Amino acid sequence: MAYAAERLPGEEKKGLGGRLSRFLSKGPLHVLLIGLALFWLTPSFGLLITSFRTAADNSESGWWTVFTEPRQLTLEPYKKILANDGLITAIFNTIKITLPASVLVVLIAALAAYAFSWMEFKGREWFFLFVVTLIVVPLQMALIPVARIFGIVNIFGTVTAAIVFHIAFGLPFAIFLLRNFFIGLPHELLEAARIDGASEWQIFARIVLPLGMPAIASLLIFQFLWTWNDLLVGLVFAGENPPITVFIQQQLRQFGANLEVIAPGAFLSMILPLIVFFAFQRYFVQGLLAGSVK
Amino acid sequence: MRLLRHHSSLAWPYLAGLIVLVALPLLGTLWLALTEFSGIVAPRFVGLANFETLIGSDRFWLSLGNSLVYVAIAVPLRLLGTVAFALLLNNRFKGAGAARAVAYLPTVVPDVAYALLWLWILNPLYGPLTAGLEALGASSPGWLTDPWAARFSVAFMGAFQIGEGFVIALAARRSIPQRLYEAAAVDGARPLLILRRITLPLMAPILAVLALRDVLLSFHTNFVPALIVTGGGDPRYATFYLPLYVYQTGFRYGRLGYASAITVAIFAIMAIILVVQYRLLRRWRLT
Repeated sequence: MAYAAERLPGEEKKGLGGRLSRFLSKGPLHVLLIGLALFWLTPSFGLLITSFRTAADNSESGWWTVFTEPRQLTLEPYKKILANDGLITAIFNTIKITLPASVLVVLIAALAAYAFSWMEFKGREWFFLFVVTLIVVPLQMALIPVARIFGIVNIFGTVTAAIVFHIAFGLPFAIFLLRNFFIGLPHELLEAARIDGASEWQIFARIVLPLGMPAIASLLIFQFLWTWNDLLVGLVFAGENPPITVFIQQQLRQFGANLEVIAPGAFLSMILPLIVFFAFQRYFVQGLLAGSVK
Repeated sequence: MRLLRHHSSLAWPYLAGLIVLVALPLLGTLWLALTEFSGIVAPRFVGLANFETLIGSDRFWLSLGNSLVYVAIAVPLRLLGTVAFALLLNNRFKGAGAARAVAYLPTVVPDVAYALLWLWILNPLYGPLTAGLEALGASSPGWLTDPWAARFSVAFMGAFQIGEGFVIALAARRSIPQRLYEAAAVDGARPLLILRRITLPLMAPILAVLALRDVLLSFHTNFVPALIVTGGGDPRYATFYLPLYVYQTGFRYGRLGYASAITVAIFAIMAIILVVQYRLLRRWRLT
């Protein structure tokens, strides 16, 4: 499929006419894709527009009325929310939680997944089954008891508490996922490296990591997003240092549905995950496996 | 080539962390489930009384049924969307990066804002969904007043937030060696055959992990929509899901012991589902 989509050299046409005819020849597919994209964007787009309207407008009419009355749009909500220190602090708290939590989960899970897929040790199957089983533990179940443990070691309410909790509950799925990716890596490469006398660390760093990059990048985006969007853990454990999701939730509690704070706040909180997505998605695009095995 | 070394010792820090943060808390909740506990006075041991109440409780069975219906609608929708997007947007084309970001975008919207937004979209009087359907000449049900329409609406909302699975499915598609497609092209295989014989089977181990996770997660993710969009499980308890039940019991009525018992029951149900799924995956050799 990817193969068929690449253009053949002879087909390359220059100029507007060529481009237009090429576009029209793929017409139905393009219309479908664009239609799908528009449909998909509607909720987020609505939120964006809402974030540029005043509280009064938002309570009277829906965001789509801007198409007939574009004068409703205003920067006021953003000015107001950026003057509020709470939001900026909240965004920084989220970053402080999300960065270490996602990087450490990916790092630990990659090592563990390598062991589960390519090293032999006693009880490997059982241990792996145990890890898989832990996916089922709903994190709600652990909230109250872990809060007590965190209280004893005196980190309750801090950013560290949220990080530790996210790592603990992120690992089972991360290990399961990476293990299923790693086990599909070409056998021949690893065997050859072992015969050549490479150590486990060398095999991990030189072969498994580079080849598993699409999987690792996707897990990183995944974990980053998951932690970034989390409300519950932040609410319970990082109470004195609320992350952005908790901040938005508090706006909801205090003043009813406070859309003129929630909408711009939500949009500001979406910027960084999108940057992370753009930064890491190029790892999917490079076909790293191409040419490594004949 | 066999490499039997004592690597298992490396696992101890991980195991210790799991025991402290996951296994012990689990026991704590199990203990609370056997007590009557309001959060103010010390817990009083009542044996299995909470579970007896639970089995006789209509609300429990109602919320369990609703949750299962939600999983049955939402999970297939979400998986279908995940796979379709991963395959469509795997190709290189102009604006592919932007298109991938579009697919991923709804997932980044914070839950509360997302729910409030849908409240507007589903509005029966001014909502664009109703207006759009009427413009097409179709009548629309009261999205939030008809029980089944509300169930579908909540599941449909969730179907947009598949960015996490999407990146992983995309990576899974990317990991399939290009030479297989080249060989298939040489043999003149049709796209549908390639999809059935190469793409889907080779993505299957990863899709299986995603499906497993999605089923388990879907028992929890309907909490915010049920609280905000359908105002606590309306209409006529059609969207009264398990997490909402736990929340109301524990935090509104202050019955923490009974709420723990519900949580333990949910855990048991999910454990059964996990075992069944894992067995199936094993049988199909996907894990």
